[in-house]
Amino acid sequence: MSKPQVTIELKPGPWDDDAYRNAWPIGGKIRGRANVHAPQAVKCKDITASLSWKTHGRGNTDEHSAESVTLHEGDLFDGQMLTLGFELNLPAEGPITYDGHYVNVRWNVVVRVDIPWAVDVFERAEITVLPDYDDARR
Amino acid sequence: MSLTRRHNARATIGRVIIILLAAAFVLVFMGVGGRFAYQEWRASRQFLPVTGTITKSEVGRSTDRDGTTYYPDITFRYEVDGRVYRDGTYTVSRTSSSGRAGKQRIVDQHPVGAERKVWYDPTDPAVAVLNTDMTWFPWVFIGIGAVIPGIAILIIVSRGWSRQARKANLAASGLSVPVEMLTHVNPRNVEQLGSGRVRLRGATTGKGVKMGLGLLAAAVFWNGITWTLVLVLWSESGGAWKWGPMAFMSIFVVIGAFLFLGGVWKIITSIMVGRRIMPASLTIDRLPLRLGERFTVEFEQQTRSACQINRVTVTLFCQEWVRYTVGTDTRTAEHTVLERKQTVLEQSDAYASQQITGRCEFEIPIGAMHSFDAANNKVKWMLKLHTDIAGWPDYASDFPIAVVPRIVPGVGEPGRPPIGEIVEVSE
Repeated sequence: MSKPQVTIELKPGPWDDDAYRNAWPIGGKIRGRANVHAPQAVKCKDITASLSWKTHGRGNTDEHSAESVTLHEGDLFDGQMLTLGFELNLPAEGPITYDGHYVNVRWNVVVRVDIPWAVDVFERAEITVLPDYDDARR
Repeated sequence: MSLTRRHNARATIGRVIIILLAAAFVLVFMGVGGRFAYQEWRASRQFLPVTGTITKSEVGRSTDRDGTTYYPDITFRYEVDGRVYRDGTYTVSRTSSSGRAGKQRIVDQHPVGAERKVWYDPTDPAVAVLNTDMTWFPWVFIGIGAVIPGIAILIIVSRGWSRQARKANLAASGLSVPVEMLTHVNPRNVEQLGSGRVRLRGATTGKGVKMGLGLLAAAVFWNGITWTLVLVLWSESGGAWKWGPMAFMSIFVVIGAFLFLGGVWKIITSIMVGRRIMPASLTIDRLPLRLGERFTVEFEQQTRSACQINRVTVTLFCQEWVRYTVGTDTRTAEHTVLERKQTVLEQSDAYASQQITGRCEFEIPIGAMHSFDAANNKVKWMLKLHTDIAGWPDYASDFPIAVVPRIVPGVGEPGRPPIGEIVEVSE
């Protein structure tokens, strides 16, 4: 059975520079779309887009989902192509993306096709979260 | 299923497994101990006396891969209601242990053919014993079984209290910081002053004494078990030292001695420091601090009696802390990310009740990580104070601070904040 194929497209972050194309400030809004193609009919509970951070490195993994939105509910039919827009908000309190000695923090946008009684299909896009200026004193 | 739901489900399953294993452990130990204790209690209170004749009396041996243990292998014949029974034993629970001499003395007291008062079970006359004394053996099992839930309850209750107290203190301090960001800052030690300034209170003598008492409590627990085992080994070897087991036990004895001496040392030095100098306070411009923020630290500490201060230093300190699992072991590791030390007071003679003060400035590097507090991964920020008193134990205290992922306006290139990067340690 062919599984659905998922791709993620994110609109660039707020900074013009190409080096910061995949970077957003804390509290920022991430806009994008998920393209889901079902080569054949598949039972599907829902399709969600979520924003989460996860630690890597020496320590046991910590992970947290900051926000999750449901993009679609119901089965996918044969040959169905879906383009699903989403908007996710980064928390204002962080954490920011970090590469340390023992502690590393990475952020991901994950689009997941929840298939009952089977392994879910998902695609992730890594993003960089940066500190922002302190608005209160700007 | 979302990440949080999966994470919570895994955590819940983990907790359930731990609780079930702990409950099974407690049930097995309490069950075995309780059963033996009940049997011994019945023998001492409900068994009836009758005269029996010793038919076998020798030292029995039980050998396995851990070595050989011994027990008094005594049987006797007795008669109840005209019926003769031949399977009376020395005690209700046949326990064996190291030390042959002690068992030999028991055997010598009850030679074959001797007539002794024995005790039989009125509900089942086939059960009879020579010795109805209650032993320590069942209570070892019951004690081990009772310690586990006791420790678990203490941990759960103290965590709950700690979090409640932290929330209440944070509300009282007037700081507008999420409590999650201040998990390593005790709001009780933070006082909001005018114009955003914040006073951080340092460790008191009482804290040092409490730590010392904690070490002493651990030493009592550790040494209680260790010395009980040492004395049991000693008594069962007939008062003679067996060097093999004793050499093994000496490791535990030394650890217990270090725990005890460490506790005593901590209490004595804390009291000594408290007699010379009062707890310090550090006042900083604001809390939480931001990335790229330059801030002033004002140090204040009052002497109790005249003393010579060699040096007072304040260190801005940032540390990564992780908890990781290797096999069945859980370990922690720390890495110093930033360590910047400044001297706020040089050689100074202080008289009694003098307020000693100092001042320095630090900057939170713009490329640093903010305070981060997950279950297994943390980035901790703190100020470390060290007051070096001549010829006397030193005063030292850590002042945890919180750094948020906000950048001070005007610092760095506008519109292009830096990626969080590691900051080298400066000597």
